[in-house]
Amino acid sequence: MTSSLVLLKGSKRLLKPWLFPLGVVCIYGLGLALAPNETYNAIQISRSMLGQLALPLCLAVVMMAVLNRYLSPATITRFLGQKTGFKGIVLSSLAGILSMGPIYAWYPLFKGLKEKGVSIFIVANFIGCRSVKPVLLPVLVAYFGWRFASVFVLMSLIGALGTAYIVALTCSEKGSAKAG
Amino acid sequence: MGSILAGNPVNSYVIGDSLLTAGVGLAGVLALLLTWVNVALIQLPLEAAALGWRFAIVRNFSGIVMAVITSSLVFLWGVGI
Repeated sequence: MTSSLVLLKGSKRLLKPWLFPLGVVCIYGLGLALAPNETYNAIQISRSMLGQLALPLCLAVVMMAVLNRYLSPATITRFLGQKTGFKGIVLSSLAGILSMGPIYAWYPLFKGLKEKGVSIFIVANFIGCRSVKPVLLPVLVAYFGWRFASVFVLMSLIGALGTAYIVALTCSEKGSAKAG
Repeated sequence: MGSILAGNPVNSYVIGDSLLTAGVGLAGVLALLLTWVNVALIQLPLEAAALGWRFAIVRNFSGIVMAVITSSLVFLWGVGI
């Protein structure tokens, strides 16, 4: 009984990563059966998109592997510490830019930083700078071009600073904005 | 849209590209991309649990405001992108 349960759990875990690709294959299969011409066109478009994005995606995967290997929430905490002022802004921006994975994985770090006395401005700036993803930059450029990508990065950083300033102004315990 | 939707940022690039093809302006697409990661209304309770309701609400709301302001600036500035 126990072994069959373990086997069931194991097969579920094995199947999980294949659910999405299998779903896509099923949809295309259904499409080919119902509307072959349209589905063939869709496959051609997907193929051409894959051709355009293959190199940027490979670059992104390599960069993700490198960052995951060398950067963890613990490293960020050590690296950020209780830095303040201009240095704090630069370091929190860098930490936000380099942090990867879903935002909820980083909440314990933010909570820890706040408890350690790091200013709200730094935490909000960190979260804001997460919209700049260096690993996805090649993909962004492939989609929108260098000019748009540069404006996006610049506006993200300005927006993060603005948001952090408003948060510090509103949520700071002293009621005053202490930028860093 | 960017505030409500969640997921990998690459999804926002694909949606943004489709919106551009459909005739939406670059400033609108920029706002979508900016709010996709920065504003997470779905994850608001989680953020509030870690950093407090006040922080979560103010940060998300000001994230939307900043996205609108910066995108409008790009639109008014008329950057040749």
